[in-house]
Amino acid sequence: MSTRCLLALLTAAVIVPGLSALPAFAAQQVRVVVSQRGFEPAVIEVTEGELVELTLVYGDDPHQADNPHIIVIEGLGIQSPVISLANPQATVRFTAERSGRLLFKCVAYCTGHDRLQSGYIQVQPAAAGASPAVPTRLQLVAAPPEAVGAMAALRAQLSAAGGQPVEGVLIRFEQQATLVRTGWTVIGRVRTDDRGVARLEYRPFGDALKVPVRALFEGTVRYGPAEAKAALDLPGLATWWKPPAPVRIPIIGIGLLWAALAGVWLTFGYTLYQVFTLPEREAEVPGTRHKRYT
Amino acid sequence: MGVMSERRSRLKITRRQLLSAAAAVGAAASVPALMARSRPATGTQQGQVSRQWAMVIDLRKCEGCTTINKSPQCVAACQKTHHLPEGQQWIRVVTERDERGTFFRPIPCMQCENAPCVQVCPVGANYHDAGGVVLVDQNRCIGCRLCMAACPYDVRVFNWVQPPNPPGAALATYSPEFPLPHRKGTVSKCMLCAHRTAHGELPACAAGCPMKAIYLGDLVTDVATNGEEVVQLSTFLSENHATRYKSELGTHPRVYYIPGHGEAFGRRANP
Amino acid sequence: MNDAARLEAHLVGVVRRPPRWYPLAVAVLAGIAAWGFYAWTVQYRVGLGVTGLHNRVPWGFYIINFVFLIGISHAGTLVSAILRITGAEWRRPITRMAEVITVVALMTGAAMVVVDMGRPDRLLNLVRYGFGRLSSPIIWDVLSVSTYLVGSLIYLYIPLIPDLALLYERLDPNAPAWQRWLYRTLSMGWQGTPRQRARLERVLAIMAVLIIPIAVSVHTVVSYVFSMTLRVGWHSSIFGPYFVVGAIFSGIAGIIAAMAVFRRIYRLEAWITEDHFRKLGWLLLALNLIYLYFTFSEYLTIGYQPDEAEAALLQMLFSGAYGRLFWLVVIGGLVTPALLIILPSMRFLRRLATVPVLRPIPVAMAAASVAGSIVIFRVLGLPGPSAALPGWLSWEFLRWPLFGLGGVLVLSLIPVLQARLVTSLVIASLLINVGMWLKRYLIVVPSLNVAQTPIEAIAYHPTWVEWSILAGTFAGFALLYLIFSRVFPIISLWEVREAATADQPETSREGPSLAAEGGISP
Repeated sequence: MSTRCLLALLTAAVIVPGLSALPAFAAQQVRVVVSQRGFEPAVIEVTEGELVELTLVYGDDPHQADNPHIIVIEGLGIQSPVISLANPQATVRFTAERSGRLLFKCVAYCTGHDRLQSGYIQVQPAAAGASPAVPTRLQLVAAPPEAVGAMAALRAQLSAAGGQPVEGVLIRFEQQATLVRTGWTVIGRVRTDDRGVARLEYRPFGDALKVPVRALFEGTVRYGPAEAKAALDLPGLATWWKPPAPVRIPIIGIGLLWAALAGVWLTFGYTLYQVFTLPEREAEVPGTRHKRYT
Repeated sequence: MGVMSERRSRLKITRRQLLSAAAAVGAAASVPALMARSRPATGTQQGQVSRQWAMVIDLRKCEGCTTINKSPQCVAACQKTHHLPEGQQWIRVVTERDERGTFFRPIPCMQCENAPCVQVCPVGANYHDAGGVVLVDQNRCIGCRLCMAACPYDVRVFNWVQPPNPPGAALATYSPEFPLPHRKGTVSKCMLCAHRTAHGELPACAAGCPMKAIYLGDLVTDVATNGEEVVQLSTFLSENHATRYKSELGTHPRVYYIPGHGEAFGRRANP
Repeated sequence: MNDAARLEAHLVGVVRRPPRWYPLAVAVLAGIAAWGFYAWTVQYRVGLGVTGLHNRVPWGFYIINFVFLIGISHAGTLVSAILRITGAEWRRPITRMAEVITVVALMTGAAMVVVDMGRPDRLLNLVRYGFGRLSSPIIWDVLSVSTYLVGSLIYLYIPLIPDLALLYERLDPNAPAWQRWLYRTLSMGWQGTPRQRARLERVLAIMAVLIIPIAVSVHTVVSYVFSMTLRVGWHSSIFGPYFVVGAIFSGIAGIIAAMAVFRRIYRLEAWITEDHFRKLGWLLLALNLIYLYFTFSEYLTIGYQPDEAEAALLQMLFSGAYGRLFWLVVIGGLVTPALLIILPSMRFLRRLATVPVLRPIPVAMAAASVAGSIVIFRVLGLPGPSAALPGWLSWEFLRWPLFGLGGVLVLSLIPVLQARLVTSLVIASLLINVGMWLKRYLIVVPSLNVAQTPIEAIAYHPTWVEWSILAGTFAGFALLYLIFSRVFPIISLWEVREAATADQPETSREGPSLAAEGGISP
C-alpha cells in the first residue's frame, strides 16, 4: 500500500471511533402502536436531556374502516402528523428537558378515543455522575418584515461545541417592548430540527422602529444554556386597531330637523306679524271714543 | 391743507372701519368654534406614538384581596389618588357567579368606543380624548344625570353635595384628566388615570393591585403591562380567551376580562 | 244671544271685581308655592343630596313631575286645536281653559327641569353648546318644548284679542292704569271688522294645524329621554306613542277637573253644561282604553319571554316592592275611571236603587265601624295580641266581611253616581290624574332600581324637599291659573257669541249700544 492510503486508513481509524464517542445523533428509539385498543405500550421511559425518537405505528385492522389518529404530547407542545391507513407510521424527535411525567393522547375523533387518553412518558432524571453539560452556541438571524405589518423571520441555530447541531430542544424567542416599563415578551417556542435550526415567523409589535429580539435555550442535563440577541429594523409601525364603524340611519338627519324647526318658527313669526299689523277700520265713525269688538 | 386733512380723516375712518370689520369677522369666526360639535383633542401622547388605551383585568389573579385579608386594594388606591369622598368609588369590585362558582370582577369605567354617555350629553361635557378615554368636563356639566341613566355599567357617580376637598385642592388647576377640586352637582367617574398614563405611569388601580391582575394596554402598539411583565396585547387576549363585559350591548368597551376565579393565588371558586 | 250677553256681563264682572274668597285663595297658594321655592333654595345651597336621590336612582320626583306636567299640557292641543279643526261647536266655552292649562303646565314643567339640574347656574350651557349636541334627547326636549311653549302662547293670545278689546271697553274707569294699558296694548286695535276677523280666523287656523304635530313631537321626545337609554323597561319602541296617548289622556282629565272647578267657583253652570262633560267623558274613555291597550301590550311583550333584568322588573312591579302601587294604579287609576265613565250609560243598573239594603249612608256607616275596629285592633295594635281576644277578631277573618261591605258600598253608590254625571266624571278625572302621576313614578323609579351590574340596591325615599317642591309646583300651577282667570276671561267670549249669533241670525240685536255703533252683522 502507498503511504497515502496508509495515512487515510490511520486517520479513519482515529476519527471514526472519535465520532462514535460524540453524543447527539444517537437517539433513543421508542415504538408505540396506536390502535382502538389503546397505546401499546402505554408507558415509555426516557432519560432527561436525551434525544428521543418516538415512532408511532398504526395498529388497527387494515381490512376495516380507516381510523386516523393524531397524537399530542402535553407539556412539550408536540403534535404528530396524522397516523392512518394511508400513513401508517410517523416519527417525532424531541428532547425532554425536565424529569417528570408527560401525558400523550390522541386528539382526533377516532374509535377507541377514550382508551387513547392516558399514555405516559416517564422522564427519568439523568444518571448521577454523568459528564458535565456540553457548552452550546446559539446563533440568531433576524430578517425584518418587507412592508409595514408584514411578518418578520427569525432563524436560530443551536450547536454544541465542535459544531454538532442540537436537535429536538425548545428554543424560546422573545421580543422587547416598552409600555410604562421595558420588558421581554415571549413570541414563540419552537423545537430545533435535525440541523439544530428553529424558525419563527411573527408580526413585530411595540412603539420602537428598532426592535430587539432574542433567542434562548434553557439548557438540559446534557447541554448548557445559550442565548443570542439581534435587532429588527422595521420599515414602519403597524396597528391592528380600527375605530368601530358607526351605524347610520338613512334619511333621518340633522338637516331634516333644522328644516322642520325653521319652518315652524318662521310660521310663528308670520302669525305674530299678521296679528301685530291688524288692518285698521277704513272709515272712523265720528263721535265715538271707544272701539267696538263686534 | 384741506385736502390733506380730508385724506387723514378718510384714513381714520377707514382704519376704524377696518378694525370693526376685523372684530366682526373674528366674532363670526369664533361662532363655529363655540358651537363646535366635538372637543379639540387634548392628546395623551407618549413620544410620537398616538395611543389607544385599553385595560385587561386577569380574573385568574383577582381574588378580591381576600387572600391578604384586606379590602380591595385597587379601589383603595383609586380613592387615595383622586382624593375621593368617603363611599365614592370609581372602580368597584363585585362578586359574580357562574357555572364554576363565584369570582370577583373589578369594574372601572369601560371607556366604551361607542359610549352611550357621550351620545346623550346635551352640553358635550362627556367626550373622547385622543387616546380613546372618555373624560368628563366638570366645568361644563349641568348635572342633568342623563349619562347616569344611559350608562349600562353603573360606573358613573354624582356629587350630590359638595365633596370635601383635600387641603390645597383649591389651588390645583382643574383638568378633566384629574378632576380636583371636586365640583358639586356634576358627574364624575374613572378616567383610566389619563393624568398618569400621559406621563408613562400605570393607572392607580393597576399600580395598587398586589396581585398585579390589572394590565394597561395600548391597542395601537399592541403592548400591555401590569408593571412587572410586558406582553403582546393581542396574543395575551386571544390565548387567554378574553371577553368584554356586556359586549352584546354594542358599546365596544376598552376593558377586557380574562375569565378566572382567583385560582392563581389558591382561591377556590366553589368551596 | 241673551246667554252670550249674560256670560259677558258675568265674566267681565269677575275680572272687575274678584270673588270674596279670591285674596285668601291667592294667599294660601302663594304661601305653598313660596314654601316650595324655599325648599329649592335649600337644595341649591346644599346640593341635590338633600333629596332622596342617589347614584342608583338618579331621577325621582322632579323628572316625574316634569313628565306629568308636560303630559297635562296636551289638553289645550286636543280640546282647542283638534276640536276647532273638526268643527266641534261644543268646544267653545272650554277652549280658553284648555289653552291656559297648556301654557301654565309647560312653564311649570320646564321649571321642574331646572329644579332637577345639579348646576342650574349653568343653564345657559344648553344654549351655548346645545346646537352642536343634536344627538342628545335632552336637546330635542329643549327645542321641542320651547317651540311648543311659544306656539301655545301665540295660540292662547290670538283668540284672546277680541276679548281683550271687549274688556278694555267695559273696564271700570277706576281700574288701575296697568290694567287699562295691558288690555289696550294687547288688543292690537281690534275692532271686529270683517277684514280683521278674516285675518284672525286665518292665523288661528294656521296655528291650530301647526300646533298638533308640535304637541305630538313634544311628548314623543320626552319619552325618548327614557327610551334612548338601555335600561330595562325603558328601551322600548312603544314609548313614543305610549307617552303621547298618556299625555292626551291625562290632559283631558285635567281639563275636566279644571272645568268642574271653574264651573263651581265662578258659577258657570249655564255655559259649561253636562253635555260638555259627557262629550269629554267619551273622549276620555276612548283614550283610557287605548292607554290600557298599550300598557297591556307592553307588559305582555316584556313578560312573555323575559330576560333576567326584565324578569326582575316584572317581579318588582307585579308582586315585589312596587306591587301594591302598581295594582292600585291599574285598578284605581285605569280601570275604575273607565267604569265610572260608562256608568251613567248603563241604565239597567238603575234597578239597584230599588234594592232596600243598598242605601249608601247606613252601608257606609257599617263599613266605617268595621274598618275602624280593624284599624284600632290590627294596625294600632290595641290592646295587643293576647289569648284573651276571641279568634274571630283578626284581620284574616274580618277582612272578608269587610270586603263584602265594601262591595255593597260600591253597589249602593252606583245609582247615586249615575244621577250625577259631573260628579262621577270629576271623580274619574281625579283618579286618573293621581293615577297617571303614580304611573309615571312606576315608569321612572323601578327601572332605575333594577340592577344592571351586581350592586347593592338602595330604595328611593323622597325627602321633605321633594315633597315641598311637589306641593309648591302644583300650588304655583293653580295660582297662575287662578290669576289668569282673574285678569282675563276664562271663557272665550267672542266664540260663544259667534255661536249664539250663528244660531239666531235673524234675531234683532240686544241693547242700544250695538245698534248705535252700527255693528257689522255676522
